[in-house]
Amino acid sequence: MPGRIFLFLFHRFFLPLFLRMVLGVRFLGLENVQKLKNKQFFIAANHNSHMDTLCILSALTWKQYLNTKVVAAQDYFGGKGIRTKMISFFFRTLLIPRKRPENSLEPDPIEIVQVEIRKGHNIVFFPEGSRGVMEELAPFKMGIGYILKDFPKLEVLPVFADGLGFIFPKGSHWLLPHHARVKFGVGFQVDSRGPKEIRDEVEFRVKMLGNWKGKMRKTSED
Amino acid sequence: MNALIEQLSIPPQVTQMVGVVLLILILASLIGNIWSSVKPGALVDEILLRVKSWWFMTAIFLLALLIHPALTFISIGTLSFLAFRELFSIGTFQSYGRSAIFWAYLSIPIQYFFAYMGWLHAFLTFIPVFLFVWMAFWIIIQDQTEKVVVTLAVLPAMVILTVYGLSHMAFLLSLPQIEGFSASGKGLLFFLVFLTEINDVMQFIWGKVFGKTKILPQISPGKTVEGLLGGMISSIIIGISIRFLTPLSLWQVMLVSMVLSFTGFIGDVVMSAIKRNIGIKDTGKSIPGHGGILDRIDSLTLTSSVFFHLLYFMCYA
Repeated sequence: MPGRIFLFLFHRFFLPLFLRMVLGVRFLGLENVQKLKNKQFFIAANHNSHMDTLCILSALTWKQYLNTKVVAAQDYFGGKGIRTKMISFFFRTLLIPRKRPENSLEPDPIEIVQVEIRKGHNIVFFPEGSRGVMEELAPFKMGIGYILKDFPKLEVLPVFADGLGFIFPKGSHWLLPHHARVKFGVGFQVDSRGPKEIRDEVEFRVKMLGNWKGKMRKTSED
Repeated sequence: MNALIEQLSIPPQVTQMVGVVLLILILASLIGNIWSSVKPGALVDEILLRVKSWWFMTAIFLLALLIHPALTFISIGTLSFLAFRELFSIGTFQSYGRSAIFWAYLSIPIQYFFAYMGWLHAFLTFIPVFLFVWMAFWIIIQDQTEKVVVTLAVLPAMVILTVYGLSHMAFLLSLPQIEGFSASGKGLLFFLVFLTEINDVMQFIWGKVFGKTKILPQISPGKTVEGLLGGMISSIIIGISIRFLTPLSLWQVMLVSMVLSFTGFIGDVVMSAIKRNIGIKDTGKSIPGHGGILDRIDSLTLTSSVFFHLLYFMCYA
């Protein structure tokens, strides 16, 4: 129970205050996710920074947050220490191996995610697979297509985060306040599309979300 | 009401000034609303939006100024933080010298702590001497030459504009008492902010009504000679009429008002030039009708330190 109280304080007070007031993150289209209430959803977002996860979690309602799993790489976030425990507690991680198995004994990442969806959990997924280059959208991997093809009626929400890579980029130890925007798109269903079509559709929708006027510049080179 | 004012130890001059400001805002709202009902248009809509934001900003300013001295320091420190964050966000070197930028952020509470304690020497030297050496150290130990000229030069300029300059507003409250002058630091701060902002508004109005000769068409097409001179004359007159907030003599207040008006113009144009160079119109979206925080306080970044040191030289040295 004390864990719950910590979690509540973290999600309802610390996160919004820290992200909005200190770091300078603005949220757009929040109603797109919050109106879903008890409906299950699958969030596909671009990935530049660990802050992406924090921002998406902070945008959810308390109920949604409790029922959400963030898909994360086993080799990076796995381990036995207190750090892993803390991360999985606050960030709600669902650890998967990065590669598909070579024999039937190894776990299949696609299946791990699908099992969680069948259990009724909401999923936060980064189809780029890695944080990649600062503030650049990498091509989406096929994983998202394989996962979603079995769930034609699941609500898929595209999310585009803009500027978070400047706050806490890959390879930097310095967390710096910087204006950023996280935009939630309108949900859609993949229906009877095949894996490749699903991947292309999700990639297109996330990209479109990122194409709005007044966006932060792509890189720091100019 | 009087008991409350006594409790908060607000000098009577400041109370008077609050009345004047509220009166101006009420008048502006009235004129704007009448204008918009007689002859609606885009210009009057923008002015109404700006006046609305002015109400909001005035409310915050008065709360920060009047409730508790510590709150004043915290509020101005927050203003510095927001301004620095805005400047960093529109900048072009987010991936370089990140450690130095971290220390620049951290310098804000330290600088305002010195202001709160009234340690003038520490306050004046901390940023230009110690912080700049410390930031240079963190830039060079990255052992990279890429963009090093930009980070070494631009970072200190950013800190000077948003932290060092603005923090002088806070130090006004820590100035020692002068015999025969009872408006105190609150009065001085009110004088500085009111004159700087009204000078902006006056330059804008004079420019709109009489403006013909452009001064700097490349940087800021809206700036005209008529606007600058008209603003300067208005500032001197307004400065004289609110002299009761300062310990300055008549001639001194005229000089200070004129210098403030000109400095405010420079601050305004410096920020415009930076924005033109980067290719943006506003620095942010925090204040409806005005743009970002920096768009509103661009003149204050320069006038605060100039006002502080002129005043110090004239009355406290």
